[in-house]
Amino acid sequence: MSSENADQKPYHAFFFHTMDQQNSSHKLGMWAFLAQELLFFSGLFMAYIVMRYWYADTFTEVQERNLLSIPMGFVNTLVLLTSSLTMALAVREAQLIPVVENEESKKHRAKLIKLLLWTAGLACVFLVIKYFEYSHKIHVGTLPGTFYSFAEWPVFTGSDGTILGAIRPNGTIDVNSAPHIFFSLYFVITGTHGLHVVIGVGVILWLALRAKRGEFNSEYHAAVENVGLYWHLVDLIWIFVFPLMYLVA
Amino acid sequence: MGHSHNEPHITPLVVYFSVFGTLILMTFVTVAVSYLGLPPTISIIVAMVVATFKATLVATWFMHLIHDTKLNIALFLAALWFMSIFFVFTTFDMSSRGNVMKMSDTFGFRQNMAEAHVRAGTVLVRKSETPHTYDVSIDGGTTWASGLVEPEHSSSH
Repeated sequence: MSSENADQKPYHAFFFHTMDQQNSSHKLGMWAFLAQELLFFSGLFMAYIVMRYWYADTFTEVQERNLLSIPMGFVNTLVLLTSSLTMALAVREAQLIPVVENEESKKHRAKLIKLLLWTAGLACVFLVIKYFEYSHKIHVGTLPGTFYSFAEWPVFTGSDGTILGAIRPNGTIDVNSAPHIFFSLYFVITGTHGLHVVIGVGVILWLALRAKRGEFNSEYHAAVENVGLYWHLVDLIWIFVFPLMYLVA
Repeated sequence: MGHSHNEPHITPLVVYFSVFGTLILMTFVTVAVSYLGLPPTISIIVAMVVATFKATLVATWFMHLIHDTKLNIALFLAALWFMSIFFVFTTFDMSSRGNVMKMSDTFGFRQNMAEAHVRAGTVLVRKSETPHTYDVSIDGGTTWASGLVEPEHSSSH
């Protein structure tokens, strides 16, 4: 009955009774999506556990041979954590924008845009570092499965094309050694995470554009909050990926 | 309930910066620990404890779960609960699989196969055209894999 209320805000969808209901519905939807994301990534983490269980020695050897760059992973962790901070601060600025437009709302909206651009910029730094890591791996041949061609740790292909194991310097075959599977895991996990970062850059820039158009205020900023939640989840997943891949390999 | 009406809960800046500082500090800690050369089991436990602590900080303060509705918190915890079921039961299955499948598809079986090839002399090693590189074959010479291998134990051409 209140759907055709004259003083209803343009951003208040007619099918919600109150802005409160609209905001909490948006957020519930986002949390359902994040729950799905956690379950989706848990498949990759389970693959990691299986790999570790079956090829424990391969992980030790990857670390001994320094095949993953700890400094690069470390810097990327700092970059992503910082982008999480700027995102959290961006959400805070959106919460502070007064509903009635005035100087105060202009000030907070300008800060919001600045913080969103910082977040997107840091995400791009993350991707550039990832690009250098990937291109080095492509160069030396530490690639997934049959693409693996790292000369210093050769693997052995049977007549049917499957990789049977690594070749030891004495000419014997070690079936417990599986660098080609380790790098499959590395590329799938960091690649899926990287795809989330790319999507994150896109949606953060979309928010910046909307903010520039004068959208968002303290009662209407569910999009900022939800992208923030998404971005923190991407950070949260990296918090586990970094030690598992780079440090305790 | 902490959930406010129309006015969102504003977290003070000092909270965000302290959480951020702790996250950075914990990152340094986890990297430093990895250089200590602890046994793998201990180092993975330390790394996971630190990561879980960091993740809890992010979820509680950056994702505002501390001020969120009970429904959203329940949804998040439900996801974690189903994740743990997935991890624990798959690990049970994996660790008991060796008892069931002793005869095939285990590393022992595959290693024996590989060693049988070496003993039978079907593992062939030859010098590659690339310097310091050798080619290896286990199927009598149809397929050759290249690598930096010294021909010692195997029969060579």
